[in-house]
Amino acid sequence: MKKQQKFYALCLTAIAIILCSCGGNKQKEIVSEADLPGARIGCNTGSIYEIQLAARSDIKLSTFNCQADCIEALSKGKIDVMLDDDCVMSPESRKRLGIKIAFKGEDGFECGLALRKNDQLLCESLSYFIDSLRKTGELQAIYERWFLCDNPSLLPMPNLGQAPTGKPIVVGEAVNIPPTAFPVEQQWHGFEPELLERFARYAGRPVEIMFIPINGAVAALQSGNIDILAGGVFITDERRQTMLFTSSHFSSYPAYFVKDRSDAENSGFVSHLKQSVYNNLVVENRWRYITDGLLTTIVISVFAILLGSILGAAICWMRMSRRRWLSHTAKIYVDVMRGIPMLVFLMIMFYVVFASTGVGAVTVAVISFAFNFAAYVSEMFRTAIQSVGKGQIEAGLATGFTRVQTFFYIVFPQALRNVMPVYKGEAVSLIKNTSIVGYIAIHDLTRASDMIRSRTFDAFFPLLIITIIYFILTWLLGKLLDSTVSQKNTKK
Amino acid sequence: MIEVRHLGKRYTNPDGSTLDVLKDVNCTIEKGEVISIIGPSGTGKSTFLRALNLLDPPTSGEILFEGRNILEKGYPINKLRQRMGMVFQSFNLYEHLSIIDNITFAPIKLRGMKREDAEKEALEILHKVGLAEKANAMPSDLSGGQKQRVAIARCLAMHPEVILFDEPTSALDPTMVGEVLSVIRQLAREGMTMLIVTHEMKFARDVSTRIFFMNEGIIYEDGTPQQIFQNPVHSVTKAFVQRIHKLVFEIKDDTFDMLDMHSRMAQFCIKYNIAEKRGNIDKIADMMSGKVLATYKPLTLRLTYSEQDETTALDFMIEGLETSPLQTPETDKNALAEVRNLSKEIIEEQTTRGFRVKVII
Repeated sequence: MKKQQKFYALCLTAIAIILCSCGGNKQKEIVSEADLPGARIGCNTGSIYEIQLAARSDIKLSTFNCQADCIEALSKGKIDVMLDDDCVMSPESRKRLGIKIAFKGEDGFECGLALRKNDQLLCESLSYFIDSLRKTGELQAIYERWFLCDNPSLLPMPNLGQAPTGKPIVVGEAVNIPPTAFPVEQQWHGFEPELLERFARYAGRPVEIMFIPINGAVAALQSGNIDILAGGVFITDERRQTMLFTSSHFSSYPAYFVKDRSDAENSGFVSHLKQSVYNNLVVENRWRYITDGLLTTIVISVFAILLGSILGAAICWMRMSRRRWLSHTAKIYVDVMRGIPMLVFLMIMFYVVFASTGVGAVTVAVISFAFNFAAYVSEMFRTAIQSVGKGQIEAGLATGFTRVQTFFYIVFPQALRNVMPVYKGEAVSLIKNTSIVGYIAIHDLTRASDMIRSRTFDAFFPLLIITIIYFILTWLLGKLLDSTVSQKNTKK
Repeated sequence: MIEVRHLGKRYTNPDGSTLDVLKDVNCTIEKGEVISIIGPSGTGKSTFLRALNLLDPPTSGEILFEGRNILEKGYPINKLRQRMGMVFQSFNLYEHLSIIDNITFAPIKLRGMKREDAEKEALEILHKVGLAEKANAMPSDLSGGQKQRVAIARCLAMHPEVILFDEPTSALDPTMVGEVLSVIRQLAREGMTMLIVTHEMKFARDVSTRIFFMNEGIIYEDGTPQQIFQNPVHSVTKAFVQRIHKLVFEIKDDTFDMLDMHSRMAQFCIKYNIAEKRGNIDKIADMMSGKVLATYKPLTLRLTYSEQDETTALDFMIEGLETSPLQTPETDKNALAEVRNLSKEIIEEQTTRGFRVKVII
């Protein structure tokens, strides 16, 4: 038998090696439009470029969730060329990552700011403001200051004086890229933020900018969570059907990015690591993203687990009730909640159920996770309670305890011990599932890594950091739960 | 102290059919009595016991405790149960608590005792049942016999007026039965009122003041151990206490399947460990039914084995006959002689139904 096992192991290893090498780092050299047929091209999911490239049958298309992922693929040789806006990477970033622009496309796209269809007043006001800046040439000046700068990350925002007071205009920025728009320690810098701050003084209302990923951005706009959607949004006829656009405030040209082979080999691992730490954590105090995100994740997790456990206990009681309507209602609740994906449920809660209410995103997240958690743990509680031998209940009753006393004093402690292993697993699952709250614009731990990643384009380091933090969190929770059911072990 | 009148327990199946486990139970239980409840399995012994403390509430009848019917609405059942203790076949110790906590649990929670006082008393009771050293152990560390003794101690801590034992030793292997029975014996000596459902006949005989033989959902016979074990009134009682097993055949005519009868008798012998007598039984059965009593049909043939005195007998009943079939001139004397050789004794007796010839093997 041993010989056979060794043979199979060898076969599997060989297959694995072959498969890995098939991935291949053999990148095709791209210099001009003519080199494109047969190349592997990458772009962002849902971008205008995806639609263009999907129509071509002579290239291999890969779409990625964000720039950082796309660039990572380019660096590692998984794609030959990346197609994106030319302003996506500043000259400094390109140099740092060893990427250059092979060539640019000729047809540019006009970008505008998007508003809700019925928000005509604000749109007209904003358009007028942009047009007037364009007439005086100020718009071009602001544009050149940001876009022709070598390292826009270091460019400070101009001092425009005190911000006005009143009801803020909420702006959702769909990008986190210099020089278009990027947050630096709570304050947004970049071309669009400067434009918006200037508009704020013109309109007499403060402007509040928040990051919102493009996937949730449209829903956020339509539901009223944001008033303006910004971030180099291309003006297209299709989009005009559902949104209102201001006059274009700048144009973007498509650029084909490739790996710059002329860069020197990487320096040693340690200095690389040190550089990673510096870039990802120290610059602009980016470590604050992580601590703030961690706090948010902990808050959501803890409250969701607490609320979910109480709700789960209630559902369990209903499920085990002798009254059929209670039992059936509980069963339906459990089946429905277990059948909806957590992300879908979260978005329904935020964009549909709690849409027009003033309830904050974190509260909605806590409630949504609690509802989901409750469905799973109620079944676990039920199994644990039923696993306590009937004899225990009989002994309790025969001694003279009431049904309620028998449950709390005798059944519950034993059921708790029985349920703890699976309950622990479900709680840990919840903590990890909270990583999706970024879709409703909550800055949690995972979003923190995204933010850092989209600035440094370093995929590995931020992910490693938060992986370690998530692991520590879940490990601590496990230990805490274990300590509540410590067994009295008194073997003599 | 406890009076039971016309107690009945009926189970109704979903399809409408009913099963009366208890039909019409009547009895009176006085303070200080030790009553053993014996009987075949499934006759409602445990059901009756569990009805007394309302774990399985009866569907008809009355139970009077100190003159008051405990089945009436509003009766404080929990208070009643605190005055009655119950010891279960499967011990049912609280698995998550140590031994001393098991015992002090109810006194602290229900009788409001302070922890120190409860523990002091618990240790005394543990000492009494011989398990003082196991006070801090967990139930899972103990053997079956030890667990049951702790269960009894747990009952005693509540100072009950009556203790109900539901087959206390049935789940124990023979080596541990003794230690539990000696505790029960001790309690009997001290005058505790007890009702014990048990299969331990010898114990029931020694310890009880009264025995209930239950059968078919009623108390079939009720008397002192002397009466029940030595002079039972009903044959059913007798069959039970003497542990008589029987196999009955009706031979109506020549078409009777003798081979089938022989094979069933063989199984009977194997079942009761009397396989060595099988050969003789077969021969005697053939001789008697085929030769000696050949002309007497219908014939009822009965093979009996009594565990108590280890006797095996084959008896033949001819209905309506008034004189012995072995004394007539037509009797096959040779066959009869052979039968006499193979047996210990042949008894001829006249009964109300007819004539019986009993061959003891």
